[in-house]
Amino acid sequence: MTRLSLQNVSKSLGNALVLKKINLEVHPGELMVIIGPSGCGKSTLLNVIAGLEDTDEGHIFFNEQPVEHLAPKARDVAMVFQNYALYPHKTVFGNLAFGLKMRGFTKPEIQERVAAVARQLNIHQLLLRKPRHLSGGECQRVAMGRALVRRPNIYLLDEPLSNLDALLRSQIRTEIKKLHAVLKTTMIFVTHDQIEAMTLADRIAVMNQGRIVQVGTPDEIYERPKTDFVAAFMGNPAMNLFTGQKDAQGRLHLHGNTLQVNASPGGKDQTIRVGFRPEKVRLGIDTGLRFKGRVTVLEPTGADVFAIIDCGGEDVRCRVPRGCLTVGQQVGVSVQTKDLHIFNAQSGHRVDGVKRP
Amino acid sequence: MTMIKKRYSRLRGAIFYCGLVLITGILSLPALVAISTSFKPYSEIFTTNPTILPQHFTLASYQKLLAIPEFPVYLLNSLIVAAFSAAIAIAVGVLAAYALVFFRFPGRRVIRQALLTTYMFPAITLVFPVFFGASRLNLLDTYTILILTNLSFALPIAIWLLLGFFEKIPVELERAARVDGCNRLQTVFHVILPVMLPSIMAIGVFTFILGWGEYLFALTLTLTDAHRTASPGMHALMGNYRIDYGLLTAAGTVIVFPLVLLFALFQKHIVEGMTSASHHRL
Repeated sequence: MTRLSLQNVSKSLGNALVLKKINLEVHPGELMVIIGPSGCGKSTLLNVIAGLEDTDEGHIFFNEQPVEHLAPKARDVAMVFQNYALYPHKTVFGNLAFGLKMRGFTKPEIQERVAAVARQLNIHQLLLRKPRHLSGGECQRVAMGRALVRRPNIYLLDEPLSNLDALLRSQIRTEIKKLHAVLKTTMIFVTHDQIEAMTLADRIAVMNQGRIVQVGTPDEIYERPKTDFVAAFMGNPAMNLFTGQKDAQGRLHLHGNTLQVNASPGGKDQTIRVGFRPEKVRLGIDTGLRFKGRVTVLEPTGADVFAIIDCGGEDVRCRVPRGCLTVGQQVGVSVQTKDLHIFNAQSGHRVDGVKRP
Repeated sequence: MTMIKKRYSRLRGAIFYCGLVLITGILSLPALVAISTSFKPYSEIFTTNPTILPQHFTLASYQKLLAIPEFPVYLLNSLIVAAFSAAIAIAVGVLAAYALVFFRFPGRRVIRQALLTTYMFPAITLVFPVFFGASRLNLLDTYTILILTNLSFALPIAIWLLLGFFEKIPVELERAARVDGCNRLQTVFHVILPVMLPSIMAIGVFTFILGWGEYLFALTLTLTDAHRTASPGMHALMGNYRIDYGLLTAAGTVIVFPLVLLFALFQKHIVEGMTSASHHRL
C-alpha cells in the first residue's frame, strides 16, 4: 500500500497555470475521489501523479520517496482512461498482457495473471477479441483489467465511467467499490459526477480553478462545505444560496427575516452568502428562516418531488413528499437556523463558527 | 411534384457524371496516347491520320528498349534512390511527427508552420547551389546526393501527412502505453506504428513515387550511366538528331507501371492522408 503525498505542486500548460500549489495527502489504501468542474485541472493532476506530465514546481512522494523525476514506468502506477484507450491492434489478451510484457514478466506468469483478472472481471470469454468487437461496458472492463493485472502501487482512474449509460455506470461503480475493498490498494478516482464521488470515496478532494478547495469525507464535504463553491457544487439539486447582510450584533438579515446566527467574525456589518440544502426546507411557516411564494416547477424523481418556489423573484428549491404541492399553489416554507451555511460573500469562505481554511 | 424532383435529381446526376467522364478523359488522354504509341509500329507514329488505338499492334518498341543495356541499370538506380528516400523519410518522419504531436516544447508551432517552406522555392532555383555543394563535397554522381535532394522534398511532405494521421490518435492511447511501461521509442514501435501502419505505408508509397519520378536533380547531379535514374535515363534515350517516340513511350510506360500499381494498392490511404492533412491545425 502506497502513501501519496503532493507538496506545493504547480503546473502550467502553455500560458495557463493549471495546477496552483497543490497539497494533498492520500493515505495508504485509501480511495480518494478528486472532483471538480471541467477544466479545473483534475485530469492534469492525475497525469502529473502518473508522470505523464512534468511538474513545474513542488514534490511528489510515494511512501516518502520523491518520484517527480521518475518516468511513468518507474512509478509503477496504472491508469484507466475515460475513452478506455485500449490498443486497437491487440486482442483483449494482448491488451491485458502488454504492461506485464513491457516489465519483463515471463510467459507463464503473464498467462496466469491475465487469466486470474479475466475471471475476476468476467471477461475471460473475450480474450481473443479485438477492442472494436467489444461493447462499451466490455471495453470498460478490459480497461480496468489492464490496470488490475499489473498490481501497481496506485490506481489512477480518469472519469472511467463517463462514457457508460446510467445503468451500467451504477453497476460498475458498485463493482469498483467492491474491488477496492478487496484490493486495498491506494486509488485515485477523478470525476465530475458528485454521485460517483459521494458513493465511492473514502475522502473527497474538491478542486476548482487549479486549487484544492476542500478535502474531507463525503459527509464532511456535504454537511460542512468550506466555501460557497463546494456548497453549490456538491449536492443535487444544488444548495440554495442567497445573498444577505449580517450586522454588528451577529444578526442575519435576509428576505425580510432577522435571525441570530453563530457567524464569525462578528463586530461589523458585512454581506454574506446564506445556503441551505433542498432537503432541509420544511413546508409551512415555522421557526428559522421563512419564505413565502408560489410553486412554479415540480420535478418528480420517483420517491420525492423537487419543487421550485418563486419567493419574490428568488427561487427556493426544496424536496417535498409526492403529491403535497401543485403548480401555482401559494406556500410558506422555513429552514431551521442550524441548517444554514453562512459564507463570506467576497472570499466565499465559511464563516459560521468554522476556522478559515 | 416528387416525380419532377426525382427527374431533376436524375438529370443532375447525369450532368455530374458526364462532367466526371470528360475531366477523367482529358486528364488521362496524354497517358493513353503514350501507352498506345508504345504499341504502334514506327510508320503509324508519324502519319497525317493519327489514331488513338494502334492499327497494327506491335511490341517492337519494347524489344528495342530491352536491347539497350543501360535501361535496366536506370530502373535499378531509380529503385535504389526511391526506396532509400522513402525508407529514410518514413523513419525520420515518424519520429518527427510523433514529437511534434505528443511532445510539448517551445517552437513546436513554428516548426510545424516552417515545414512546408521548402515548397516555396522552385526546385530550379536550388539546382545551382546544390550542384555546387555536391561538387565541393565530392558527392556528384552518387546515390547519396540523389537521396539527400529527394529527402529535402519528401521529408517535409511526409512529416506533414504523418501529422495529420498522428493527430487522430487519441492522446490517451499514447499515455496508456507509457503508463504500461513503454519509453517514448517503445511507444512509437509498440503502439503508434502498428496502429498507423496502413497510413504510414501509404506515405512510404507516396514518397517513393516522388523519388522514382524526380527529374531535375537526377538530371543535373548524375554524370554517368552508373548512377543515372530512369527519368533522366529517358532523356538519354533521345538521340541528338532523331527522336524515337515509340522507344520513349515504351520506356515511359515501363517506368510508370510500378507507380500505377503501387498507387492503386494504397490509393485509399494516400487520399485519406491528403484530406486529413488539409484539416491540419497549424
